[in-house]
Amino acid sequence: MDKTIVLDDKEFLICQEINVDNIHYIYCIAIDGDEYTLLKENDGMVESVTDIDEFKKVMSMIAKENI
Amino acid sequence: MDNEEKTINIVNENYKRMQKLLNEEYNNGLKHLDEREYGEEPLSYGIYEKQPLKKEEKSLKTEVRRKLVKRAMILVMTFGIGVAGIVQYDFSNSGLENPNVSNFDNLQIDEQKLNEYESEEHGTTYQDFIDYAKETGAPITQDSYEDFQELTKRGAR
Repeated sequence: MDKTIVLDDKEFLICQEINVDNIHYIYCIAIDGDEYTLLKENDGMVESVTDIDEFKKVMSMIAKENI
Repeated sequence: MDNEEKTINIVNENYKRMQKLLNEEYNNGLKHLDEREYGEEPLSYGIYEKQPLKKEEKSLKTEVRRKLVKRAMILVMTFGIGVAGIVQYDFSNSGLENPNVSNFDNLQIDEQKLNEYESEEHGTTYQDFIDYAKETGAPITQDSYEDFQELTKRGAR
């Protein structure tokens, strides 16, 4: 089974979940469309990461886990 | 081994693996990092406001899953080698500020650095291998590339 997440009624495939500094991040790509986002989860709520340094740090960690 | 050496080793190892993966992609008929080669729109970064987590489980068609994961991982790979300075990513104009801006448009491969890196690592560059393959008719595969590296190493000794 594939894990998906719905954001603003748009469906995303979860590609990777990772914990960095005790924060849970979800890297996902739109199932229909050409969009991706990196979400941070807190208390059952999610929002896209908008801080560039945070984004770079987490994406680099995801990269290290994958290559 | 100090931290700097450890970091360099990790980056080098990642780079080799990324190169192997990209070569495999090449052999599968996917010729370029930039997904526009696939006839797809480049990926852009979507910004979503805080909202409840709505996770689901479902079975996607294999080819759909494969395509999506491949697109997502190609993007991730660019971050894996970004630390080596080979790939430069201009965040000043990235999708993080404007979700409609293509992230791939902001990627630049520093070919000089890549050549220097490959030359230091192997004594030859990937471009040398391509030239060699064109001249000799050798297949452009990972095995053939490794044979070429061995051959040139032996020749240099």
